[in-house]
Amino acid sequence: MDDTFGQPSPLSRREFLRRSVAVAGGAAAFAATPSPAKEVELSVWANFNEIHRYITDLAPKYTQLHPTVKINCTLFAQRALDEKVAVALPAGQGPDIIDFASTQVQPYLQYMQFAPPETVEFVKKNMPEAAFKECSTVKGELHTVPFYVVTSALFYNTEHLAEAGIKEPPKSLDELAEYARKLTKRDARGTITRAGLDLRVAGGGWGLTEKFWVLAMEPNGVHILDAASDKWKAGYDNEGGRKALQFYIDGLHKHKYCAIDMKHDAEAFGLGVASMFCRESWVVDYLGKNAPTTKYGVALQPRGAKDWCTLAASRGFAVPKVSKNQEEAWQFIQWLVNDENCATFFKNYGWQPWRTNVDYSAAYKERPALKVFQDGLKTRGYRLYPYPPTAAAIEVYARMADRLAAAFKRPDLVDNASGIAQVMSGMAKETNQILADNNLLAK
Amino acid sequence: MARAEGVAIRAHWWAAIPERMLGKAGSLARQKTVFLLSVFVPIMSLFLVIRIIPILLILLASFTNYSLKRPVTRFVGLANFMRLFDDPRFVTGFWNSVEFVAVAVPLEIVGGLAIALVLSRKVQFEGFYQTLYFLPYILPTVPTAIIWRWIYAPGNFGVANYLLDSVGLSHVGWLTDPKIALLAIIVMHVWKQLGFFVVIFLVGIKAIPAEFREASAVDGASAWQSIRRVDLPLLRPIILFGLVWSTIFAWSVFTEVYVMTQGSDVSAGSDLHVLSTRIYQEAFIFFNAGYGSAISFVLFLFSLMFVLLQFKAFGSE
Repeated sequence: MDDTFGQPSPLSRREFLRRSVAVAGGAAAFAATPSPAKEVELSVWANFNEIHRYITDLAPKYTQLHPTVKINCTLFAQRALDEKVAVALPAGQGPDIIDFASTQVQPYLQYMQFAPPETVEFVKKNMPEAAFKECSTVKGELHTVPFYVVTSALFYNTEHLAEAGIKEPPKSLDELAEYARKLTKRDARGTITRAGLDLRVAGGGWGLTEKFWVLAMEPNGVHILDAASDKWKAGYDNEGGRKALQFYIDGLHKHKYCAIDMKHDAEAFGLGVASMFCRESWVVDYLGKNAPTTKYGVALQPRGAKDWCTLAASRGFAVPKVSKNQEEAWQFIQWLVNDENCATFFKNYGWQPWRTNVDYSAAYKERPALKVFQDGLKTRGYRLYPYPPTAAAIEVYARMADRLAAAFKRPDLVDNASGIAQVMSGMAKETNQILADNNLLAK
Repeated sequence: MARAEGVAIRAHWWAAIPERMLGKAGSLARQKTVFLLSVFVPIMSLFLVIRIIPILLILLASFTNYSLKRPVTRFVGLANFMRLFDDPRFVTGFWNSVEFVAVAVPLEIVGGLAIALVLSRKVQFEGFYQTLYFLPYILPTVPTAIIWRWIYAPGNFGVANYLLDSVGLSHVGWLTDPKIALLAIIVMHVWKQLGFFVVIFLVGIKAIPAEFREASAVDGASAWQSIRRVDLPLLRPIILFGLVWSTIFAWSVFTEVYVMTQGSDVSAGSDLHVLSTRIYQEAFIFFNAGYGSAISFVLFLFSLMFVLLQFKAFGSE
């Protein structure tokens, strides 16, 4: 009987080495086995309801294609996103993707990650040059993948035009004012019951300035801000600028084809209390849902004395440097702007994608008016211009809106050249002061 | 040796503090003090952190060019306060706030008191009236303001103009005419807050012993004399409380004004700014937090001044 019975027998040196090698081999083999892929949750901050819906609707499909990637999209009201970003990014916080306007992103360029080469290639290949060059880059580097563009067009009520004997929508600003006078209706007390042309005359933000700029300034060759090397100065304290204000004052207080105290905007057009107005492609979706019986057409913006053009306010997706999932974020963004998704976006959400090489026939079939917007991106001689790429733009536009809204209420400005000049120069002085405060004023 | 003595003296001094502050160990005085400290210290600390320190920080920020957009902040002395005098938007906002306080506070106090005095007598359907006047107060402000925007909508689309139209009167630009718009918002604000003041006055009136009124009746006082000579003097502390609250509500009104000034169709825009919406605009839209802080501090000073005046006027007896 073995005297070591019941005790583990001591290993021989060879056996010990053999077993050690076996254990080490097993461990190495285990380590070499591919571990389950890392789960990634991409957080997106959206600024518009439609974008939030779009991403939320598409998220399950993306997760199906990429099972390790989950999407979490949060919607912020327009001003709330600005606040959130302003506080978060400098503090080293933030999401993986932000839905930004080209103007909104300007103050935060230092916190943004530039796009990788394959994304840059994709954008260059698939988007108009304006989308790449003017709206989304700084010194040649892509900071935002352009997704959709906010351009303006003229909406006109075809029944109202036919009733007034007008066969075609106005092609110039002069025709626009002339037709507006013809289309206006008043009650026995002289109160306007139907505006010939609805002018944007109120509102709390910079939208009022934007509409004024698009309708009355740029077509007359006037810019809000003139660039001089890397700096800016007010570009509207001149004859063109004064004419722009005159156009509004005449419409409100001289020819009276629009009034301050009445319904405005898409709601007024849908209710039939405005015959014409200028707005963006989302109105097509709005009218389809809220005023489906309205008979209307859409035309490119009327020509001014010096230019035929529209604003191309670009919106897209940016990836902040604080994102820990940058690779996945860029991949997701590129997927969001692919052919199929762009077509879906235009058709179902109403905003106009930047991409012009996509088949939008399904959208046009359902909403023919959308085609005009897409044509605008390709029409020769129809200039697209961006917001001035400066961090001070939002404050400049918002403060101008305050002054414009006050000026629009002044009937004393009718045929009052010096009064109008005073309004414009006071406004320009303030614009230049804002630029100076931001160290952006050109000498 | 001398050093060791010093340490011993210091140790003794530290040990003596609790006894000097709290009283002798185990004494009733000590127990009372400990109880009071345990009750007040957390509350006062919280008050310090969420009230006093922010006020001091805002005061500090108002002397700087602090901006969320600017990485470097520097002191600018009184520049922000000097700028207030040249800023027409601040001036408009300031006078709008003053108008808000001057109109809303008397309406809320007099209206609340009148309703409370009526309801404090035997009234049929008391529960129904209680629901009716308190309902606006508990409704959330944003949807309420949106509903009032519908009421004030221009043309024939708003209830207010529809009613004017139906009696042959001209339409009013409720939210577009600068002379009317602020008053229209004050009406909405008073409608919403009135229930709160009715409740506190009602509680105050019900706390007055019935014998006082009975005695005045025996002495031949009319109902009005009873109110004037019995109810109102005894309600002074409650009226002071109501005045202070109403004034603070009116100076700091934000949501009603903010909601009414948004949107592209019916707003009166910047004509309707009050100080609190100007602070929001400067600090959170333009990110000029230094200048926004200066406006905040002015708002704080004026609110404080009004409240102190009210205490002086009402608190003397």
